[in-house]
Amino acid sequence: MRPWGYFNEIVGSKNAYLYFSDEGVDLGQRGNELEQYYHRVLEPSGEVPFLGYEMEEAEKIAMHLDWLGRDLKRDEARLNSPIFSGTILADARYLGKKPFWDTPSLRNVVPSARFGNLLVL
Amino acid sequence: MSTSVGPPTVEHPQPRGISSRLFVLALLLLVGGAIVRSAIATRLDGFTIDEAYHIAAGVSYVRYADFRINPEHPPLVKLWVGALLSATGFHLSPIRMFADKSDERDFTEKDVYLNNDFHSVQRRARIAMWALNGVLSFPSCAHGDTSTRL
Repeated sequence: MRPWGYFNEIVGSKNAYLYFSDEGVDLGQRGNELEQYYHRVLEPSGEVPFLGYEMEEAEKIAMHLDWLGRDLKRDEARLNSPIFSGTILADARYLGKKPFWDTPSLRNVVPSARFGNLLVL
Repeated sequence: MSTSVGPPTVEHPQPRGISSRLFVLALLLLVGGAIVRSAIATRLDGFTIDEAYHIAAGVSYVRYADFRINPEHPPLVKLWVGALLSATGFHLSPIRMFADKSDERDFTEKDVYLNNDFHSVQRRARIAMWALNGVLSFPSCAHGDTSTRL
């Protein structure tokens, strides 16, 4: 059972992140599952993900995560590239339509995994 | 001989209600059910972005009787959680001068995540919060035991 937050009868729960973008959608509480997914799937394959999820620096270090931007010298080329290829761990609350900083390319990707409102793209 | 004349005595029917014992039992079941539901529904959750900050602040209140860290909220819940963590083991660095709120947050989060087993900290904080919610039902139980007819 995964108790995604209830919003209302119209938008339901599963896709509520497309209509709401507040702390009721997510508040960074999927860190433990992100940690497990990283060590189970990403780390063995050598993938360094883009971490678009709200986590504190100390939390990421304590979980022994690696992420794009941790080593700017190492990651400079990937971060500066106009075309991104790789894994994005995204907080779903930022994927709904927005007047500024909208991300339709991410919104339209089917997640390869999902933990509450943490999406693996 | 005189006779006092007063208004006729009217007996008001007692309102039907539940007994105090049933009220207390129902309340305990309700609160217990809420705690079980919380334990199941949030069992996969990690810390939200502010919880580590609040927890370390609570421990600092208990250890140092000093409320300078994260003073934006009323301290009761942080004191409660801080007391349990302090009693069961929590490494807290000596308080130092903070440059700004961000520095204060870094200080608390480093202690929770890097100087303690943060999974253990989270488990104990959850137990403390369930216990607090249970304890808060006691005044209602006591009230129901002495006065309740619903």
